[in-house]
Amino acid sequence: MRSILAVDLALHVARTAWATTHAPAAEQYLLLSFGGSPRAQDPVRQRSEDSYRRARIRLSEATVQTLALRMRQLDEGERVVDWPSEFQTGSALGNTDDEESISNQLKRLPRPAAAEHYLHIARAAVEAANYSRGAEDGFRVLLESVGALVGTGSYRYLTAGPDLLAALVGAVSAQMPMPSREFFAAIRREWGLVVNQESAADTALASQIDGAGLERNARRAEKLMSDAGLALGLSDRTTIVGERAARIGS
Amino acid sequence: MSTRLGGALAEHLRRHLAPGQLNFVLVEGVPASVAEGMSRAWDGSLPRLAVVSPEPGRFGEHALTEVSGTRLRNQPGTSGVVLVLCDGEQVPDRQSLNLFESVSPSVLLDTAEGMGILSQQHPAVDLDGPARAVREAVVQAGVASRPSAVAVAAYLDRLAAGEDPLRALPAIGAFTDQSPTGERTDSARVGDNLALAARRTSEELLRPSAYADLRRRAERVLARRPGLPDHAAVLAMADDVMGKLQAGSADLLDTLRFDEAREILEQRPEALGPVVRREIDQYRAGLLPGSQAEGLPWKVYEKRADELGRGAGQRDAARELCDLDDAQQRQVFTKPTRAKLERLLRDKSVNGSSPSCPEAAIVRAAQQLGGLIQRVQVLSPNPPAANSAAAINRSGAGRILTLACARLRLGGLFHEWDWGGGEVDGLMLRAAEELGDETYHERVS
Repeated sequence: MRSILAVDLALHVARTAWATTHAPAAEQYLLLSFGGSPRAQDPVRQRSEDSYRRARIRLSEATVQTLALRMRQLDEGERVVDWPSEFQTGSALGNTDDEESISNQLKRLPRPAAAEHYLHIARAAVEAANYSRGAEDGFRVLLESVGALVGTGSYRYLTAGPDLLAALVGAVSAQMPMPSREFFAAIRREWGLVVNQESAADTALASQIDGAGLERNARRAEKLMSDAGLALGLSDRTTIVGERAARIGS
Repeated sequence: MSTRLGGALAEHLRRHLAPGQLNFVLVEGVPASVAEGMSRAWDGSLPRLAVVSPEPGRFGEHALTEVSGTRLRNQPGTSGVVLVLCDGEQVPDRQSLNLFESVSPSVLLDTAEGMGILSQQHPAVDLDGPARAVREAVVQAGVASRPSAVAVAAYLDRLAAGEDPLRALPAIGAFTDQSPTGERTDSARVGDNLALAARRTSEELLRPSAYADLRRRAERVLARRPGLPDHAAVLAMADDVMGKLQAGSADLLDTLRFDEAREILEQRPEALGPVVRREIDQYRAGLLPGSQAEGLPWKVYEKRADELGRGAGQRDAARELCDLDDAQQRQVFTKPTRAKLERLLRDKSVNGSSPSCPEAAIVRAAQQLGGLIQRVQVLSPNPPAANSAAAINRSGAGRILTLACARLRLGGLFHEWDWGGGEVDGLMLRAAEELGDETYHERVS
């Protein structure tokens, strides 16, 4: 339950950022990488790193755009805005003595101002202060807490261990058991998670990575689920996923 | 571009499938347009082509509609099959096709031959000059920075339409570029470009704490662009660059040139030659018409600036340019540029330890000196004097062993050098076994 709540919240944050920044549909996904190949030879892992980085960039952009929108809304309201008081006490952004502080830039802005002027000031504010804790760091910590994000620094990538896979299987258990292809399609629909080439078809991955590489990724995910008792490989080589699948097999 | 890629895949299979044998190949997750290119280029010399797509009508006899992949494989008298699954499509018996050989479009980027096949598809592209450097860089690139086969096919189509190979680099995910003045574009430069472009979205680069520095550097670098008339235009441009950088936009690849991106993102300084050329141009632009300085041989000085990069003429060029600056009351170059020119006039040392290869260091030294090395002298370590305390302690032993190793490794080379008329320090011409005095020799044994 805890795992699925964390994934739900993290994906809600990502989806809000995608919507705020009008991200193209092809960019709205997170690629889960499965496998033990060395990083330098694993294109799926590297694309997974990239999908996480792009989600973070969208979160950062969403912060800038939300800040710009809020500045504009305040300015367009009926009351006169005391800009220094809109920033945290003691923040350099609201420093009245600094000609280039954000509050002074907002004061100087000729009215009515265009959206891009607010965007310019909001970007300057984000560059001068650390706004990343709330969204970007929260997103990272949520995913790390359920084992969906592993690695360090620039090499963080998305994956799912047995616990998280069990949580995902449990969350769609009403439709279980189902073939692995349908399970991968279900987690793509529900959380935007991509594992195989079918669910990558409508994403930017289609032109970035070979379909065969994604199919190998799916085979490894199936094996992990089988080993964890969440799936069963049948004699015709199809894999059935579901909490009851392993029990049926045994 | 997909037609090019499809045709190239068909040609690749034609060359690599074993003739007269059963070949079962699976091509997964390709765009329908790539499969269409394959279908058009297919002929009777290849096994049967079976394409699974949502629009079977596009593929005529090559469409797979009611027959399963397994049944195709088991058909009597078959010479094999190439099964293509267009993006998102799948066959119900996919698990039974695990013994099919998997071929991916990216196989074409693994070798120069594959890139050649891709470039020779209609309309053919001559991979010469900078385009050859791009081809080599793509083949050598690591997984992280290598462009996709689809992107490379699109790039080649742009070259076929007459675009400049370096300006069109954003099509394969690199910054737009131009040949450095007086230099050839090599594959290492294109490889560096691909790697930098791939890193532009990395967390270490897009740290909020680094934004202020990035903006400052962007303003400094863009201020040198001739097309930007005033400071306000520079600020607007820097704002645009920062916006695209923070948003991870691919448009940044067209907005910044590679040299600019390197300076902004990597803090790598611009090469000295172009800086000197630019400062000479700026100085000349400020000269009064008819002044004496206007008549100076500026073309020669520009040529000297090009010689600053590397090679034998580097030091002479730096000397000549410093003389020019002195004659113009040090008004030609900025202080940092002048300091860099003066640095070229100083004696140099060449490191042969990392990696350990003294022979390579000697070759580099000869290159730096611009000709044969006339004299080899051992400056240190000095061998300890016989019967002294240093001859039997640890540091003395270290010095003796260092010299012995150098003699063992380079003795043959130095003897030939000596016979050939070079002047070699006698310390290097002794036998390696001459470790030191006998006392030390006994203690070692």
